[in-house]
Amino acid sequence: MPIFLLKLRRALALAAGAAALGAAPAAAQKQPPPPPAPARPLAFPAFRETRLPNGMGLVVVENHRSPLVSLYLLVRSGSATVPAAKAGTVGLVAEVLTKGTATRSASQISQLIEGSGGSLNAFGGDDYMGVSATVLSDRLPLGFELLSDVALHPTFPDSEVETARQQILSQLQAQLGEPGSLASRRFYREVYGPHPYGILRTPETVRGLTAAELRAWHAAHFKAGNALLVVAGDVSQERAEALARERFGGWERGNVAAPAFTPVAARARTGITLVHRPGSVQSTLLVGNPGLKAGDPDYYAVQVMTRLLGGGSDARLFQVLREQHGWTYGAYANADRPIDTGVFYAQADVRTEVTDSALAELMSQLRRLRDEPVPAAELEAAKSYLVGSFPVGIETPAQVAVQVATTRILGLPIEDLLQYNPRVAAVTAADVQRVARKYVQPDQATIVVVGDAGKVLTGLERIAPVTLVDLEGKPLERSALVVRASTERFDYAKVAPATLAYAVTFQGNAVGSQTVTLAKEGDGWTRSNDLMFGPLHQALVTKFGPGFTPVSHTETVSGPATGTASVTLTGGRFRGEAKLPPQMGGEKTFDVAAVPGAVLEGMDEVMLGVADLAEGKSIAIPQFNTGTGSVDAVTFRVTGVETVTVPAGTFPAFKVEVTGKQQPIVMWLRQAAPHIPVKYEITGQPVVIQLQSIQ
Amino acid sequence: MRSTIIRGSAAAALALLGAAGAAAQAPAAAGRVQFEDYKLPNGLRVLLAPDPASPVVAVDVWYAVGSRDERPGRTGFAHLFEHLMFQGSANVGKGEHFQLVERAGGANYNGTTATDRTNYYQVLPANRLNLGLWLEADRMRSLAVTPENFANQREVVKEEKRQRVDNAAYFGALRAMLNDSTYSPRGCFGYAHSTIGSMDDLNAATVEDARAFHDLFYRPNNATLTITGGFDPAEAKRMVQEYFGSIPTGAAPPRNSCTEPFARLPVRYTFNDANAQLPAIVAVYGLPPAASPDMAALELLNVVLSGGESSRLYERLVKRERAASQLIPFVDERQGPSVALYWIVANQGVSADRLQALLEEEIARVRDQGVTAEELEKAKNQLRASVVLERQTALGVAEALQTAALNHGDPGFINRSLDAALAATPADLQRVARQYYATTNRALAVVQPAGAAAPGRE
Repeated sequence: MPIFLLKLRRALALAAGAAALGAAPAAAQKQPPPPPAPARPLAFPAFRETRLPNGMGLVVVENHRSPLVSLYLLVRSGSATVPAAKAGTVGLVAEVLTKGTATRSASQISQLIEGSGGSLNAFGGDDYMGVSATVLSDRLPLGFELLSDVALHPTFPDSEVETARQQILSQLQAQLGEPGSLASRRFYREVYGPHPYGILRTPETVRGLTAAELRAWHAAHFKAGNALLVVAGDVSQERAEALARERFGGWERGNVAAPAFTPVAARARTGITLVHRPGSVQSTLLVGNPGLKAGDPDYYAVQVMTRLLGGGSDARLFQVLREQHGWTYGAYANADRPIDTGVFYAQADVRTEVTDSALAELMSQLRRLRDEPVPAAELEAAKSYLVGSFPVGIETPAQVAVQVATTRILGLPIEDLLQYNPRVAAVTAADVQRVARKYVQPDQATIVVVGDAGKVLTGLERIAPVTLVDLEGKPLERSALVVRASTERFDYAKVAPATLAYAVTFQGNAVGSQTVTLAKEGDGWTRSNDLMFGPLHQALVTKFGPGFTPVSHTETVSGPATGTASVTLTGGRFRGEAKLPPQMGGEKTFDVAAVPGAVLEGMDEVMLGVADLAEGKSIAIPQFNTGTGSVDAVTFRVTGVETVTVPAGTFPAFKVEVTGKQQPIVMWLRQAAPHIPVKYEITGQPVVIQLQSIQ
Repeated sequence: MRSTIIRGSAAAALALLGAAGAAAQAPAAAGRVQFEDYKLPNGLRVLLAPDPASPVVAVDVWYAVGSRDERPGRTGFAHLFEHLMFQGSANVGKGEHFQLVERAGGANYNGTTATDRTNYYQVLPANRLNLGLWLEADRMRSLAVTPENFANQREVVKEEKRQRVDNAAYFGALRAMLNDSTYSPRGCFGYAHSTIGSMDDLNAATVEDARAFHDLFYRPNNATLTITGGFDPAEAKRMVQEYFGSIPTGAAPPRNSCTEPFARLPVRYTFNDANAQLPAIVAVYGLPPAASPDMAALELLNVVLSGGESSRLYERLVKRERAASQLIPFVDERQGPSVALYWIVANQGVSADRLQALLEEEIARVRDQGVTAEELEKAKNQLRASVVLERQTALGVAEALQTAALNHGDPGFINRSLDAALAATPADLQRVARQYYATTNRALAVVQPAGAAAPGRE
């Protein structure tokens, strides 16, 4: 099956579309969109900050549009306060905090809050944890009572701790199946090292936690002097203060120490950790380095920078990696701003076969941000989005509460929030370049890739040194990636000369033809595959010898794209070079070991032709791929027998699903020997190839 | 003992909840939406619900077309169109819609395809209402359904299908259970296939098919435009007339019938899922259309069964038995026959059979013994709160108006939506439990991590 079709899909779709279906109509003069109406001055919703005598902060956001009140109680202590052996403490505290107090069981609490139509949740992060309650305003006393009860008098019952523990363990197990989680866990550990932000819970640490430890953590950190209460919605300032004093006035002030943070340095050189996920059809890329912390005045320039680099579909990474190259469904970048050193990161999920190209392009975009000032149009678009979307983030009193609470718990002055728009508007291209040089470190980057190492390792090694690990993070030997052939026997003596002509259709329209010739040459064979697809011509010539020993393979492409590739088997290695169009693999030199049973492109169909096929059989034929430059594990699965009608006739045929090539293919091989292909379909493309004649 | 706890705390609980009467008498004015409802001569229905204090506006267009309007051999069109609608129109280039909206400060925008409707919305700063209206009018009038766009977006849709269904745990089963595994293809083809369509149908479709679909369904007479948030009604009406007034009307589109939706129930399936780490079950019950007089009681019943941690299923399966790690309920209220779905993922070491047995016990208890007055009060409060929460944002109000217009034929239903629920009695809930939550009215899927069992329908 010609590989080029799998790589040239977009270009060919356009070429075939234009050729087969006529040119697009001429565009008429475009009308521009209406300009903005005068903007209303943005008035940040009013709020008032006070402090109770015991040190607890209180913020009240009064807004009577909706009969709802949201309560947020935060303490400035999170998982950063917990040593590595006890990782998971804060998450477990958050799960169990609302599951029992001195006077109420978990069931009673949930019946009361849910019974009122409200909600009560606890949550935890690196820097803080908290409890939130939302109630209809005519149930406000209940909201305050339950909030204070779980915050001040939780008991962490053993049975509830066990239930929560099981749930967290199940979630951790589920994460093993999620490449995004695997990537970010590894990434944070590598960027932070022993720093508290790099400590992540594991099944072992979660199993070791006791209810007594949860109680102790709570007692040490839930203190009035360490806490902030935000009340937002349908309540007056006076009533909110009165209820706060009633429920929290007696809370002990305490004296909670902040966690000790150590400096986080970028690594000396860029390195890649490759987490092997066998069979992965995509690779998850995560690239980054230490970033800024709360209070850093560079925050606004960094916001503009990450927005234009990777904030959405209107950003560089998306436009280049997705729109231009078609490598990914989405690519993004961001920087967080915790109390201590945060991270800058860029991420994308890309098709396996373009992993190295996509990573290389991503790195070059990072460099570009540092090396070139951004054009005015991009700068304005990014700023316009940030400033324009600010009101959507403060539409409800609860949203205002979260914004104010977060600003305060990070220890920031309130202007940090109120002046967001003017500060963003003032960011210049020089500012963006300056912060890029400070916070984007492509030459000292931590890169984590989760994908099929068998396919991507070689390409990644050309970008940076690679450390190979398994799904659990344990070091993996490269030999574990070796591709193996199945034990199927192929009867070389049964190979017979043939000329097969095929018709190629695209979206049901005839767009070309393919001729396959198999001719004897001495005691070996030469298989030629000539494909005409619209104006494009691809000729593949493969030579092999007795026992299906590969000899050589050449590829010539001409028409709208041109190029050549050739590879031979010499001294147990596939050696050669390619000068192909970028979409077909680009320019490469090949020199890889040929595993036992590995063949060259085009041989697999001849071998299947003389194999003993039967429904349910799965045959692995490793083969060298000029596009990837590696020996790939290709599997042929006979899923059934169907009668197929093609121009050459009606044939009972084995339906064979092929995986491991650039894209999955389905072939129908004639049931009668030799099992010549009578039809192909490329999964994901409207291309069908059907046998027209046999000689 | 659980029953003792309930009895002992009932009095205290009811005191804190407020007497039973108070909840039923909750002021109807709370959350009342004032709106205007009119039609342009070309049939476009316009709903305006201004909120002067809001700093944003939501522009939300619903086309009354969804997967239920597709015919066999041509599935996936409604969803494909959701993609096509962002590929450009006469005055908007390919991909320019996103750019224009984002650069104007639109952080919340999207289009989604459902069984009964396709929606397109954007939340913008209040001074950019004109942009939202201009964009929606341009693509309603002059969407570029070209061979190139069609072919490109078809590939994107197929890639999306591969990513979502093939890569995410449980999604294949969930998707099937919401359509062809539960609904009868012969009796209700419209609902008995997945919105994303089949690969074969997508491959076989031509751009002429796409244009015909567009001409039938993407017309002002098949659309409702809702504007909410901080805008001036007179100014909005002027802009609506200016941008949408000259779009030509179309013929009334045909509608598929759904005469025998649940003919195949009861039915049981097994799915193998290579991405799933733990077994799960998905149980689906056949419900009436959203406008049915039974729907209020069913919504309340669903809250009692699965609304929150004090619900019947959560208490029993997650807390008491520790059999489930997740319980996710989803009631899909449709214009036609609806479904209630319960997705329950096992804890480590627990089998799908155990989840099924526990589910059946709890459902049977409600059928046989009904619900308590306290549970009913609680459910009413939850519904009331969810309505208040929904109406807090401009987009929430817009979507609520649209749903009322589509499912009940009257946007004014938005201000009556709680009436039936607040008047419901425990007997109502037991009645609908017996009628709809019968095992004979159920589709059940067992999802096994790969290799655990033979797949198929039993």
